[in-house]
Amino acid sequence: MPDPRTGRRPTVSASVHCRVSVRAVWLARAVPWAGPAAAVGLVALAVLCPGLRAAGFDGTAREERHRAADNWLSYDRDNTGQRFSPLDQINRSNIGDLVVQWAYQFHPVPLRSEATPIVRDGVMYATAGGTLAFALDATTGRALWRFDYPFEAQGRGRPPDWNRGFAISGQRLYMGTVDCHLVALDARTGSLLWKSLITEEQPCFAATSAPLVVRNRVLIGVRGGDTGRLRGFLDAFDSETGERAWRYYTVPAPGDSGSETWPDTDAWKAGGAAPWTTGTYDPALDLLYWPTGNPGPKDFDGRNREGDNLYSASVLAMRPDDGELVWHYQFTPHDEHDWDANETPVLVDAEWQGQPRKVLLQANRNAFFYVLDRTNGEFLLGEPFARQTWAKGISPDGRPILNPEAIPSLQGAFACPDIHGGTNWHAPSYNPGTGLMYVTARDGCGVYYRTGHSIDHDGRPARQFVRAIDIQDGTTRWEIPFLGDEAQEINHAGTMTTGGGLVFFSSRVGNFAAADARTGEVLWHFNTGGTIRASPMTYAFQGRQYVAIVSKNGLFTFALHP
Amino acid sequence: MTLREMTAWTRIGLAGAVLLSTVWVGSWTICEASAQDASFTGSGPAPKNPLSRDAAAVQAGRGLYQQRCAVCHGQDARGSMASNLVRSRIVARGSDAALFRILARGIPGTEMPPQADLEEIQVWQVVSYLHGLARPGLQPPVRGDVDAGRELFRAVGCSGCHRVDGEGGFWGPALDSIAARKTSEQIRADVLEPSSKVIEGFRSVVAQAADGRRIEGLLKNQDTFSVQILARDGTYAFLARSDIRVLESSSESAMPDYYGQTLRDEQLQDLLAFLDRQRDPFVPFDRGFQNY
Ligand code: HEC
Ligand code: HEC
Repeated sequence: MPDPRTGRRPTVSASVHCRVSVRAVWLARAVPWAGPAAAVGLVALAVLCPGLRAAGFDGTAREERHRAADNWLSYDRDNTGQRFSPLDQINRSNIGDLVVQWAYQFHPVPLRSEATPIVRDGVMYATAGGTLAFALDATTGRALWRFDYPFEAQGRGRPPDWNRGFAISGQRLYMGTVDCHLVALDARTGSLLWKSLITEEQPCFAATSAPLVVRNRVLIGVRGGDTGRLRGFLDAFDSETGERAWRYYTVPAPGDSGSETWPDTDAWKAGGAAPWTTGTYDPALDLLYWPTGNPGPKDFDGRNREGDNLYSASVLAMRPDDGELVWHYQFTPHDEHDWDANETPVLVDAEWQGQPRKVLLQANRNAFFYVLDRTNGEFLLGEPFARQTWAKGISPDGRPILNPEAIPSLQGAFACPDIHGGTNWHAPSYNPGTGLMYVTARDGCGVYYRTGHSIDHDGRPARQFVRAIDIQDGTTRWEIPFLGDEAQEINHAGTMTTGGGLVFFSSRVGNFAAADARTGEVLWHFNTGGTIRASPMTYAFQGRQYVAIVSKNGLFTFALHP
Repeated sequence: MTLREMTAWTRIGLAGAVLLSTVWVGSWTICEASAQDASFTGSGPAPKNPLSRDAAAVQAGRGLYQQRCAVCHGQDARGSMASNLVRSRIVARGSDAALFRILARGIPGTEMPPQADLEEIQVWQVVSYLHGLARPGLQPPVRGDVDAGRELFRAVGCSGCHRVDGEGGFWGPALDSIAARKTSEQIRADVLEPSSKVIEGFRSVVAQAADGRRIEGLLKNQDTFSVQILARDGTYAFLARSDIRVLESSSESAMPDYYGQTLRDEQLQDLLAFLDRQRDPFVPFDRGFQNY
């Protein structure tokens, strides 16, 4: 629209500098010797306008605001992995009034939708499937931009068409891709800033997890630990330039510390230990906590990889600046059941068994709930939270006491949990108000052969639950059993908990529900009509709290009926 | 979609297109697969146009076209007695080999004659000419100094609003793939007369909110109930229609309209040459910002 005073439209009206310099260009134009003068004016525009690029973002006040309760800024909301939001507008007493606000449907329809959206200042950023990303008005679901990543082919077949979401820093969004790149997008427009190759000398098996940003590092690992061809690694990229800062191989090369846990063969080259989920970070200790997957080259037959196979099925405490390994803890030494440790290492500062402690909690796929001292990796507690027969317990030094009958064999060995584990990658949550950790759990058993596995072999079908684990002693304080269609099939839907005293959870069938975080009483539920294979989140904007969940081909948000 | 998959899909699409055209062109029944097979056995033309984007070939193809085709398909190939070739599915989206075959063999049963007396290379020249018309990415390279153009892009302030290779502002569309989706004539028009066609998602608006706020920016999306505006500082404003008193939208582009006067002809040519190199296939050019 033309400016009423000058009759000119506000071309570059963002800042005084630029308006002035545009005028300079106009002056230059008006005179006959415009050529050189215009050049001068144009240079002035260029010199004075760089501020346009990053305009309005550097203020620390705004950064502060981003940290405020309203936002959900990373896969697990913040670096603790707690998935606890202090928001309490939606709470135990009014949850019955929670209704759908809007839905957003993905196009094209992805194979799987595993993302947790992030929200900053009323803008929601999410990925769908393995290639699609978008920004939405978080109050209406109307799209602001859409990005469809045209990936590079990796041989035949459809690549892993799923992704767990973005990390954000300033005006940059980061996303892992099906063709093993880390891409950075402009959060304002969705345009591509750069893309960096994650794998070079390795075959590519996709980067599906949401990256984690720590200062100027963007961290992301890869999947593919079950392929028998991967030596797992975690990469750190410079958040501005996209250049790789360091790579940490989760399987040591001969001679490196930890290599004594591998035989004197080439097995380590396909040693797996893929860090395919998102880690957590403690800024006070400056330690990253990153979990790793099962060892290879063969999942169920460990005969050609004698030893503990470090650092598979472990959590690694590392320095974000250079990837230095400070300590490690291995949950399942020499795993032969495909029990990845790719569950969130949840960081909690709490009074633990009478002492203030900095602990790391993990409900592991091997069905044990662990408490570690995260300053040094000391093992504090390991108690089963789901049906298990593979270990007689965890000894005080942190090593499992094995049941030899559960070890995979030619004839098959019965063991619990089954291949899907006591839980899996889907997010748990922890509520500081209740001291409980909420885990989607599974009681299931299977028969493990050296060549594979089967499930449901003891005549008892597997069962799915949401369990509230008391972090003091690992006991289950309450559980919500899934029934009917949802009872058996593996549920990859995570949990989220709030200051409103609620825990949100979902099911494979598509029910999205909320329970009282203290008692497990189910207070609200909604059928989204499609498999939920993701974890919920919550945010607020302009005084209104929303809850969101990705379900099959779409995304649903809820708020209280006004 | 991957390049490899893209070809696969194009192939499937083409097979469909070819099937369809087989229905209406009667006896012409070469399918894409056999066209390719033939080339592998050495008995047919190459599956890819060896002259793609070659300026001299386009020029020669234009000459041949004028002599042999214009009488039916029109001087500008946009149709007269016979169909518009710029809009033709086979020209715009079919494979090189499929177009080659149509030109060489004609379409039996219709007025469309074979070009039996043309050399293979001459047929490819006509293919280059037609593809250049119908496919932005297949224009012959624009003449001009690319490096000077890159420098100008920064110096005259284009990069303040437009991003290329990850560098630049966010106010205008990223231009990494511009030449893959627009012809250089269209790009020239964008630079000289930005207001003649303002791209959806980049329209300047001012909203007067009921509470007295004045929100200025680019209209990124809107529907019956709400409006989404990107402000110059990179923040978004979301307004319910019911909270808007007036929404003024400008018919003029947010891009300066003085480049026609400030840039000398050769500078413009250098800029266009630089933009012509911006055909990154890995930058999506579907800017679709609407819900589906
Ligand atoms: C005597 C008139 C005539 C001449 C000369 C002629 N065509 Fe055609 N052409 C036709 C007709 C008729 C058709 C089929 C129906 C239609 O598309 O209108 C056709 C079809 C085509 C098609 C297929 C269009 C589609 O979408 O299916 C192409 C490509 C084409 N012509 C290219 C050429 C080229 C290149 C030349 C010159 C080398 C040429 N034609 C010369 C009459 C002519
Ligand atoms: C003040 C910001 C600004 C500046 C400076 C600017 N543009 Fe633009 N440009 C825009 C906007 C906004 C649009 C989209 C709206 C429209 O279509 O006019 C646009 C559109 C374009 C398009 C069409 C893009 C597409 O996706 O189809 C081209 C090409 C282009 N500009 C080139 C240039 C060149 C070359 C320069 C420098 C000589 C330049 N622009 C300077 C803001 C700007």
